[in-house]
Amino acid sequence: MLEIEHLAAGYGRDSVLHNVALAVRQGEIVALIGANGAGKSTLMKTISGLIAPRQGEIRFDGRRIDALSSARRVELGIAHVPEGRQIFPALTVAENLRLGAYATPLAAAAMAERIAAVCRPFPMVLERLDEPAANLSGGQQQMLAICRGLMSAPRLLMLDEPSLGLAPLLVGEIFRIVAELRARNLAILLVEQNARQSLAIADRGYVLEGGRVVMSGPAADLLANPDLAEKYFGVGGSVEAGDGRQALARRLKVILEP
Amino acid sequence: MLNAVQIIIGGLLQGSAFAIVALGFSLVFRVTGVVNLSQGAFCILGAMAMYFLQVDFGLPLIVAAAGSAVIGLAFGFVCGAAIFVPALSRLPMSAMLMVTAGLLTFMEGLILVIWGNQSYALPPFSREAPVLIGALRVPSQGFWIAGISAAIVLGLWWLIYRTGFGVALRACAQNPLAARLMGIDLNRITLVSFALAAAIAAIGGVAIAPLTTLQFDSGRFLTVYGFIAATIGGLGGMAGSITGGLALGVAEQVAAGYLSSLFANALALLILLAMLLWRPRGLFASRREARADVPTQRRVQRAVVRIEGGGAWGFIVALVILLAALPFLVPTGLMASLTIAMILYIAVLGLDVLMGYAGQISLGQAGFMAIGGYAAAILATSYGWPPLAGVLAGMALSLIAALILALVTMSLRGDYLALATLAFGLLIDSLTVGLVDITGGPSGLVGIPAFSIGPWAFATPRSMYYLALTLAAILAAALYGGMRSGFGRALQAIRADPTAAAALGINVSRLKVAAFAIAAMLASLAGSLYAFNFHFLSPDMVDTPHSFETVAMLVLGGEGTLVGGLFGTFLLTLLPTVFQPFALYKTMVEGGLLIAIFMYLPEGMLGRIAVLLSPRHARREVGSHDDARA
Repeated sequence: MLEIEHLAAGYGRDSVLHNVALAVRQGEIVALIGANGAGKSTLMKTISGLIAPRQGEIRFDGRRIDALSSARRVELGIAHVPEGRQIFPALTVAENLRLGAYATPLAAAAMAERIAAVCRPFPMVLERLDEPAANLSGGQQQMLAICRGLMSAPRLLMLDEPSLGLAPLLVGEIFRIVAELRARNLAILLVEQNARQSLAIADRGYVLEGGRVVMSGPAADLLANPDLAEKYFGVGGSVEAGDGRQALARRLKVILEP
Repeated sequence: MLNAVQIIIGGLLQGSAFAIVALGFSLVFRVTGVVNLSQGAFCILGAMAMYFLQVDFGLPLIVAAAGSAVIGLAFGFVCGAAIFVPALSRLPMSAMLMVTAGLLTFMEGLILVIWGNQSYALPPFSREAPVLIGALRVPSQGFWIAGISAAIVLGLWWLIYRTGFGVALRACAQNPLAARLMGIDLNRITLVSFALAAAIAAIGGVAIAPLTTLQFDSGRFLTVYGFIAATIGGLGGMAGSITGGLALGVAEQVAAGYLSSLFANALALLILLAMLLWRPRGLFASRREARADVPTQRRVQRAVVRIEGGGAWGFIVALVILLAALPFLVPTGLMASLTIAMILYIAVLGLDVLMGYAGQISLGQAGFMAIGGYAAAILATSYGWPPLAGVLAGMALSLIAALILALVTMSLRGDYLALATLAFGLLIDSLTVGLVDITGGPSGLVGIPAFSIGPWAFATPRSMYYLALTLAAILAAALYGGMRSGFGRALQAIRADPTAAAALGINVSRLKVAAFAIAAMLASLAGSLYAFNFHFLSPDMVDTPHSFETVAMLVLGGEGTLVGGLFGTFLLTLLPTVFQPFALYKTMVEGGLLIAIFMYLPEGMLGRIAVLLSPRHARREVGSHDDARA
């Protein structure tokens, strides 16, 4: 559904992405793994049209979209839930949701239906429609941000760090919801600090380093990769990943012997 | 008692006008975070268009009023699309303020070219006699103003809170990045708000024109009063703008009614300073919708490009020789203009320390020129002080004024200093005109002697030129050394990043005050020399347009270069003399230049030359970019 080839992008004079290739197919969760500054968020911004690519192609349903405005891409079915929630704090929850469908205008009745449908897994959001979004807690705001992203009835949903700054219990909740969304045949591109957890629910994964894709494959293979375990899954993670005992030993050695 | 009620009614009427301007301010500020100084000029454009359509063209009232609003809207769209929106995506906030100042100047110049410099008064909308309520007289126009204000407020409220466009507009105000992700075209919303604010201002101008006389440059007063009103209310809110406008109007009229109109002007400035000091977010601070991701001031500033290495010394020596020889090279008719340019350069030099090195903006440089000029002139004519003592007294006075102004505003956001200096300059304008007994009022002071030190008198333009050249050279050399000392490096650190500078242990406020004081004293010196040169001083020689002019001269030449201002000063002073027909277009061209330089030649003429001369040494431009608009 989404195909990216030879993509290069950046800010001002600084290049961030180099020759990136990536694909997301219908109904699959694809995890993007990488350290801070690897270019994960930049990649998402390039896909949603906040940044214009320098080179390369972005295709959606086989059609090139890299020259289209953000609004057109939303119309075509790409929704981007940005890092840090980015809700509109002084607008009501309902107004936030309606803005989610700004690029795909709906009549009043259809709008009410859409809000009800989108918020079904999030009853809390429905209860607080008339309150300013700023009144919601961090976790609730994240859910609102996801609902808002779903309001345009996207076929590709990009989630940038949906668990950022949330309590551990809520993080689990977010991952459960993401898995549920896939069941609706949505394609999901997921960026998470918690690489292990995101690969656990993903079908495939890509690893970004210095703006380049250095590894990609089925999520299970990536989870089992000892190099990745050492770099991205943390000490505990590599143990759970199974084959990581040697990696753990190596890691401990690095830590203990200066 | 009756009188008091009458005054308050007058204040509310005047306040409605301020409120309308403030509403336009708030609309643009809310979406972009920019204080749009051109707001008041759109009022005048509306009023002038009304005069043209109604009086010259004989159209019926309603048609003419609607036509004026459309003209305001259309002009707003053009300015927004050609200038405001493109500038917003590539300039830091401080430069945006100057772009809107340029737009204000440009529009004043345009109105001057089309309608001339006479005052216009429109006939009232309806010719009924003032309505008597009890013993109170309310002019019929008052009801029109109240009705129009109410209609604007209701219309705006409906638009912002009851339409899809309004939700999108508020979304952009709160979080531009997320708004773009929703598929909202941020530039379109910005453009529509800007044009809408222009139309509101035009309608406001139409409504108030029958109660007062307006001319091409009345816009800046409306801008300042509208801004003060918006500040009282807390920039960005509708209710605050209206309350702020009405409160300011009543305060003004009460002060004018019981004390003097002169005091009323001073009161407005004092209110602004008090607000900036104690409640910079307005009286209704909690109601303000904060922007989630946009810092109030973008920190990264452009690096200054300078000529470096051996080429610089050759350049300076050649320049000094050229300047010394210039009086023998030009026709005698140009001598007077050369002298004026040289004197103005001293004021521009001071401004360069403030703008080019410390990164602050002053729109009140001419105010300090007025202080220096009038102090020296009055002391010399009425008290027989020697000119040099008068010059020093003027500089001391300017220093005191600068310190007071700076101490109040220095700890605040950069833009506020610019606005406070603008208000200061306008206050000085009204003082020089209003204190007739001391300054001679609008007709000015005559019989100022030539400048002299002991037995040496500088009575001819040529001798004044060499005096100014010598002073400028000494000052430039001293500042050149100063800017390479710890003091200068600290100033440049502040310009680059005030927070990082403070973290390094630099006392940011103190250094900014010092830079401001230097700028004020040099302006004062230039003002004194001005008075001695002309043997005459009138308010319009040192009024606020000259503040804008010094800024234009500086940025045209190149900020942060010390010598750059010389090019801008000579160009803008000599051009109108050489091309006489150009004189009428001077204001307009200056405004246009200000906009164009900020947008297309931010390094100025000398900066450009430096880049061409020494590509190897030219430092890379550090542009500040904004992800949300990238």
